[in-house]
Amino acid sequence: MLINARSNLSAMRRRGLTLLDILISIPLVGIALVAALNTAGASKASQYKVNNMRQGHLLAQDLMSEILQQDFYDSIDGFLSFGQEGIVPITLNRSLFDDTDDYNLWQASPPQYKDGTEMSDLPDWQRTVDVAWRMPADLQQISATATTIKHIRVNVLYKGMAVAEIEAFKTIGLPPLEACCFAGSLCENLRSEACTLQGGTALGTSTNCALSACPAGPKVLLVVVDDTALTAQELAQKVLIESWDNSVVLISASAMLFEFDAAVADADVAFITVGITSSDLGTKLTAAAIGVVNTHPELLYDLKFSSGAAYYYDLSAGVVIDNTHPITSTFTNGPLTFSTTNQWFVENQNGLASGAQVLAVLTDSTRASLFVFEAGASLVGGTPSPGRRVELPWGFTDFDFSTLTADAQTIMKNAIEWAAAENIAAIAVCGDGTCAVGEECSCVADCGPPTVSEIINSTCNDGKDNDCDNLTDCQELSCFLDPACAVVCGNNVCDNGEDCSSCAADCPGKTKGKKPKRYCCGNGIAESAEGDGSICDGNY
Amino acid sequence: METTRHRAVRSATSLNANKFRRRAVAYIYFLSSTLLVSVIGLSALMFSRIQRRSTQGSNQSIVARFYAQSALELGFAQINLDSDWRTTLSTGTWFSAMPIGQGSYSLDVSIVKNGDGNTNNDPVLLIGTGICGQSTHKIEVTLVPLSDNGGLVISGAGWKRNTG
Repeated sequence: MLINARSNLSAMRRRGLTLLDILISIPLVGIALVAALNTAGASKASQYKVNNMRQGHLLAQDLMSEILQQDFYDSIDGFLSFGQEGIVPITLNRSLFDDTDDYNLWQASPPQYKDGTEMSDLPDWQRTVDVAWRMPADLQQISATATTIKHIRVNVLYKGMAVAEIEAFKTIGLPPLEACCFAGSLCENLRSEACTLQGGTALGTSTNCALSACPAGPKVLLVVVDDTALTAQELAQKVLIESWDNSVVLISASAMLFEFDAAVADADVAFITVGITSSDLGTKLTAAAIGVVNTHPELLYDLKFSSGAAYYYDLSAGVVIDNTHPITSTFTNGPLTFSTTNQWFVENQNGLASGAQVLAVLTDSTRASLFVFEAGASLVGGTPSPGRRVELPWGFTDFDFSTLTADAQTIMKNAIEWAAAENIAAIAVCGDGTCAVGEECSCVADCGPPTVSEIINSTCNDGKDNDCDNLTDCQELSCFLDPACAVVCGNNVCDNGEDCSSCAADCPGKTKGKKPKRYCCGNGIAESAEGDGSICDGNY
Repeated sequence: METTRHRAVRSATSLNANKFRRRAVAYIYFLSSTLLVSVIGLSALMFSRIQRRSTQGSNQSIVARFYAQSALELGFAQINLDSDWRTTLSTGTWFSAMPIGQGSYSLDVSIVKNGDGNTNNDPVLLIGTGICGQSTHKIEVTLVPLSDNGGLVISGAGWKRNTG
């Protein structure tokens, strides 16, 4: 029994680990665990880096793609400036950027979408861009002046450490697209050669259809015998006039006066074709405030051009005697062939109104054949001409328009354009060298940047944004002290800063009664009781 | 007595054998689990390395695409600036292994005969190649001269892009 007990005790002792076992196993376990944890840690760190790298490259790719999609040229001033243009407010977002160099030195942290919305889930990230001209001969060299190549670098940083970098070149590319105008003011962005080949007119580099409207030709009211059945000659004239980018509206000479008045109101110039007689048209266009081009001698009297007679001659040429007028300015004074074969041409025999300006006569004659009246010039009896008037030399019922020479067609075209010019506002085409109305702040190429004087001395009461900063008159800081912007109670103007409670004399209001009927001018709120705002003159 | 001693000796031997077996099993357990942890760790490490390589490859591919695009841009500019480029610039390699960023770009140009007998009317094939690290990206663009219905040729302008 004793032996058994000892044996059991000894066995129990030997079942546990010895000190030696423990001493050996602890370092082993430690080494193994450290190695395993290191491996797991390294794996985790690597995963983290990979994710950052991927994220960084996606951010860089996103921005670089956006930049490369932009035009090489600025839509307004082309090569003139680098970086964000003066007329584009320096913004923190990229919504107004329109060419690649607008991105130069742009940076944002956290990164933003193009509209300026921040990527709030990426607070520690930053994107920076630098753009520079490069020398075409050596692309590694930066150029201080404009070249045809821009180098773009996008950097992405995470907690200040560079994670991704992408570089690319943007060049002038293929010949740029530009606005190309076709008949009927249709506009299509094409390369200039393609435009010319397709019969259009290119408006020049740095133009595009979004910015530059195609000039609309005059709207011509073509007076014919019967607008439902054109004669061959009438059709020939219509086709010819339309080929000059004019739109043509037909009206029968026998139409009622009110129909003529309505048609005239919607047209720029009336063109009376050769077949129209006095009994058909009469004086329906005599008082028209638009330009009138006449080709029929019988109407000289009705239109008050002349109180005398007109004679016909079987000829093919005339003589330009005054080339100072836009209609004849493309010719030198002297003989000019009107038709390829002899046709009936007209001259005024006597009684020409005193306001006429004679531009051409018929061969071997000194009497007026091609003549014009400026708007306001004296017609027969001293009546001021309601609009511009032109009498063309050709015009008899059987005149064959197919015989008109190119020079005669030019005269006819110029006559229509000149007579209509008063009714057509200048078309704003950025890049055409003319600073048209509405282009002042949107087209530096035509209007130039605002002058220092305009910036410092903005006019405070002309309703214009003189310094092109999107602020008008009293909104300008420089107009703060201007008398035009003074807040004076009692001047019958509800000035900025006044409202119905501070100056009831200038700003009307109704603060009692039912709520829908209450309003207060000058409080900045468009209230229903103010109707269309006229009560407050728009100054809610 | 003899029998009892004999039993006791046998019992001690048996206990010793059990003891060693248990210890061995413990060591084996320990070694196995350590091995398992290490294998898992190493696999994860290996996996992340593969993932890293793959991400690097895809990132480099993105960058290479921009380099290839840059090569084409430079080619377009050459064509734009020289209206007589068909004569002055021969086909073949216009740029070769030009350095940019962490890689390089090349541009190869070839004429695609359209069979109309007029070389000025032949489309032009531009192949931009961008290289970044192990990644190579190629972009092909065919420039086709526009002509009117009568077949008149425009040289050096009026291109449209067919990206390949």
